[in-house]
Amino acid sequence: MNLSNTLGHLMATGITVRVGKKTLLEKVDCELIPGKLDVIVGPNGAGKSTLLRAITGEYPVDEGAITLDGRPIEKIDNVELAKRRACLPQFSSLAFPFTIREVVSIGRHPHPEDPKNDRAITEAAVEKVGLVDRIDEGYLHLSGGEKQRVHLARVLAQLEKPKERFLLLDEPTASLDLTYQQLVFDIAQEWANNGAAVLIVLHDLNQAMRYAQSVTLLKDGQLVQKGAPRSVLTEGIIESVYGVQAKWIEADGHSLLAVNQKNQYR
Amino acid sequence: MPTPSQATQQNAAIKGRLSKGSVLCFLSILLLICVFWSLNSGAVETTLSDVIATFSFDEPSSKSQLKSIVISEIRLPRIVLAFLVGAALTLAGSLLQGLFRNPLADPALIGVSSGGAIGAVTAIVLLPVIAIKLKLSEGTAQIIQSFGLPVLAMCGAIALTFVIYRVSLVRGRTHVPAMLLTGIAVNAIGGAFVGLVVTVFATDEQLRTITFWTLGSLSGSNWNNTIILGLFIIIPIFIALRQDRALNAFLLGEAEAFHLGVNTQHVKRTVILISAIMVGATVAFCGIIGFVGLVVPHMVRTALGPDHKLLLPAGILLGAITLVVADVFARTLLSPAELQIGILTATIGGPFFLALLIRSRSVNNNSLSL
Repeated sequence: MNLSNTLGHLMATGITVRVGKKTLLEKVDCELIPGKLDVIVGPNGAGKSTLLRAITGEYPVDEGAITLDGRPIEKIDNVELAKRRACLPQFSSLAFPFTIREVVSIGRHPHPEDPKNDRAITEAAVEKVGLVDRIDEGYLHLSGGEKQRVHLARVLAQLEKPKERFLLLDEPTASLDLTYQQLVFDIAQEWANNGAAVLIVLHDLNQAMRYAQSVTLLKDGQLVQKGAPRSVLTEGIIESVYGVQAKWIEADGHSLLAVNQKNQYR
Repeated sequence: MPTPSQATQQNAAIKGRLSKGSVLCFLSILLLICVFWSLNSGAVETTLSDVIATFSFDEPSSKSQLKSIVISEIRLPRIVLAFLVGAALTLAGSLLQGLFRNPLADPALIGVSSGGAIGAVTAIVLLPVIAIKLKLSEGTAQIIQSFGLPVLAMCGAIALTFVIYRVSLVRGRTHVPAMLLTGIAVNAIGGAFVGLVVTVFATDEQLRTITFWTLGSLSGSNWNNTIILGLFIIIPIFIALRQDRALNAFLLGEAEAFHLGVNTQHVKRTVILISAIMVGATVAFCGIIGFVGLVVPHMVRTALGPDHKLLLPAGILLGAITLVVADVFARTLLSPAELQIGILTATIGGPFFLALLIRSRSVNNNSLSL
């Protein structure tokens, strides 16, 4: 493999993950490139989160290889890896009375302690998600959506800056209202523009169509198709994967998916 | 209009947590005061000047000599023992609560202490038999018994902590009912085992009584025990204090901690080992003293927040204070008789635990996740 080609890239090739006899992912490829915002979509149980977790190094893969800068990910020290890639989980089970500031500053874990700098980075991250005037409030009293924004700030504080960083988001907009869904995509896009490789697991095909530079469509643990949103999320492919008839409608310069009411649940 | 950063600083000034230095300083002074108070309390009347005389190099008069011996040979080792036990139980509680990501994980409640009791009772019965079988000299047998007791107690505690952790974890998250039910089961097994052994080997005075094991007591204190226990507690304290940042990350969840660069396997093993070592050693010498590891960390968290950087050291000091004070009451409330310290901790800790459960029900829509 030519190392110079893979510098600053995260490559996952032929990823297969099995749990017991069940195959969660089979020979899936995925590549994260600085400056790009990629999206993984697929029906429930398609293996989207599994792929994300395999890429973080959390799930050991049964077959295939994941490399960062051409180095196998399992050979990279945990702390070094954590400085380069961060992962926002779907939901968090934190049950202790931290303040917002404290939760976000836990994101500074991989970095050597530097109170002044940590404080500045923490505050900047909280400001980014629009919670800075409540930074010393208790985390446990927040709504689900606010908690999710706190964790987004934590992940941003972990990576510090976008350049050559890998930002992985697992359904980041699931519990957010429209305003903050928009905020999350703005942040993701801004990070990609500034040199981060961003990978987002999404359910909403409208969002995928609108924000993704490249879409990876999974079904039953297998790659269906990968490429530009318009070439992957066609009406025909959507029908074959999701079993619903749908039609893209152009409005205000965006494509919106109109789903036929008479679905056949398969 | 204040800028956002100015507003932040104002908020921080109002709602910010107390600084680590001032908190630890305050607790240290409080601990010192409690130690002096304790040195001065007991069946034999003493005054502060007796306490000072004991620790000065002046030649004591024959009358104050007795008092000096009471203070330096009876009270002081007991106070140090209370200090160590309080610190160890609180620290073990804080560590386990971090590991289980749940504030209900008290070493006695979830069964770690029962594991220690099983090991300790086994040691007391088995070690003399082994010494006789191997025809060891009396001196060697003595040493083996002194160290074998805490070591076997630790082994019991370690083994059961791993079991409890395995059973309570469902898909990477702590299943609280499973954790508490495992505790009930393990405590029942432990209680039955200790009861059986104590009944069968009723003549062995080292075994003492069932209540020693189930309610705990500091009455067996002497410098020998205290120093051996100290060895098994001081080192884990220093290892534990270095896990503070990792434990903070752990509270987010195991996967999240991994993503933050924590070596989760290493932290898990370390935390289980050192908390079981501390609890096991404590149980070997003082029986099962419950609720300290539940109540004290909770008090620290309520006052200072859950950040382990402060929770661990402050918990050690407040735990020590709590047990030193509890021991004064245990010695003096029914003087000249002695109240078992576990009765005191359970009297306060039991209702406290109930209150925690009730509050968690109202907060979390009747789910027990806390």
